[in-house]
Amino acid sequence: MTLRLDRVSYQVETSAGAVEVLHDVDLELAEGSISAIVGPNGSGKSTLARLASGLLRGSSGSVALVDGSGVQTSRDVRPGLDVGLVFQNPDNQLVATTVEDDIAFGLENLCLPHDEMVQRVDDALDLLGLRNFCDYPPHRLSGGQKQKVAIAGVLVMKPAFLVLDEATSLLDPSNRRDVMDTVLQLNRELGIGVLMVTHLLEEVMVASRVGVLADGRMVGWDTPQSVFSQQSVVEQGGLVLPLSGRASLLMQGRWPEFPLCLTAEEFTRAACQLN
Amino acid sequence: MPIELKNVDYVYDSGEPFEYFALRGINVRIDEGSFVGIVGRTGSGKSTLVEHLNGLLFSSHGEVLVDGLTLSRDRKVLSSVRRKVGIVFQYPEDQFFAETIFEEIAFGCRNYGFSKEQIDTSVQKAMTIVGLDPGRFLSLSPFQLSGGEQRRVAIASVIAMGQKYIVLDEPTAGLDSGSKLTVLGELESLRQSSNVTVILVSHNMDEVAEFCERVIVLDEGSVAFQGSTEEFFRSADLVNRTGLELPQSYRLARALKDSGCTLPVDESSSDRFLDSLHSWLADSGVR
Repeated sequence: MTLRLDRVSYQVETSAGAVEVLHDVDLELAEGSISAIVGPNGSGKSTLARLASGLLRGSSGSVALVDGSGVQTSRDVRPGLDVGLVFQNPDNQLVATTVEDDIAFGLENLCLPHDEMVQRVDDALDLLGLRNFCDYPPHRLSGGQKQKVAIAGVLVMKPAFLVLDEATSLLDPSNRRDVMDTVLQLNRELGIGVLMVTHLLEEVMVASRVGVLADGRMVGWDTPQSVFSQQSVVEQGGLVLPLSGRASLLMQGRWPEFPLCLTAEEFTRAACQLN
Repeated sequence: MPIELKNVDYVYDSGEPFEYFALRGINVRIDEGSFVGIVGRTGSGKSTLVEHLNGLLFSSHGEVLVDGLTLSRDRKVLSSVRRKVGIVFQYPEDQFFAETIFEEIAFGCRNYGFSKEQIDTSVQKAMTIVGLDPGRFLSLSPFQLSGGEQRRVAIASVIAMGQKYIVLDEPTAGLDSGSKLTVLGELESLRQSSNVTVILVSHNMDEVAEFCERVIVLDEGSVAFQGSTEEFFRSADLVNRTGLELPQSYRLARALKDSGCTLPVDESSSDRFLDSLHSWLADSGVR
């Protein structure tokens, strides 16, 4: 199933009249793909994340799962079941008194057999390294640990797509890698599609496609390499290239044929070839 | 005068089954006018430590001194310390309550008895520091803003009070890459111009390398390292052991060195890396 956003706009009413937060956004996320959305604060990223997961309805346009066969068997996205959303702030989605209950909360609404529920919660506890905290009250955990509980609670629903709205922004580097590895593993093994709203380059780099939002419009939708080589998109999206990329641009001032490198390895290889 | 923590322990639920040492034997000194990073993996005690700095938490053992004054529950001591130490929390936008951004930022200033002019100046200055255009944002409701913009209002509301020590608990999580650097750069200028002490809790090693001269590294509630940021990042083993990662500049410099490529670059931060590369290119261009 492809997740398709078709000319989606979203307006909010303010004291100063209607403001268009998103304007005619098209997005097509292939089954099992990994995509990223980047852009400055206030560009509409979180609104897009909510629209894509069915929590908000657009003022116009449609958000639907479309059958890959080409036959029009599209249906509106069901939040949680088709697309799971993990918020910026985990306090917004933690509800229960223990970690285990919190992870199970969504499942309890699905009328699953008890064993299946226990199994899914168990798997999630292990995957995210929360086993030791399973009886803890979530509010007693640190910010990063809470975020893992929130992610676990969404994963157990086995949605077709997972939308992460800066879900790792409060994790330390090793936990962030843990969580990202887990997400990538779920993507690889279960074929869950992933859409990440992020400011972190390492997350952008694992995506096959990156969308750049600026002032509510999608100004770029391409591979990371290609997005970063378009000066105007980089500027509009307020993006900062990885150090290797910025160093490459300096090198290009001297050696115009120097490639735009986005990793330390690429840069080292290119620099060695000069000597 | 510095902030000092002497042999500080903090125990959650002492004597209960969930008893947990969040901090153990902490000895830390933060000098006035410095830019200090506090780093460590999730759950290492960073936020607990920070909450000791202005008496939101009181140590179970040991003492905390702010400018020579020992923190206690005494009202006079507390209000004097809180006038000096301001904290921006992890999710500061959760505390919004005012109708306009101006009122939100001005609230603390009013409590400290600023005059109307002082409030106007402080609010404008603080908004400039965090990169919010006063003309566009002053009259909006904080609840109309995006996550990153809310974060900036929250930072501004603490900066506006003009405290001597500003503590930021992961302030840049959720800010776009451009504004991260702007906000921290402005805090650095504030430090230079007004001798404000900036204490930055962060998971982003690039910004720690760029802005913090000194760093306090926590691991499981204890201090694993305290000293120069460069010295810390040069000991890759320690960085690894404490669950942290090297900044991009160190990784790139190391990759270059390992492959025998001799670019004379300064690894101590991304900006300094680029500056050194730039001057080398300029010099070698002349030759």
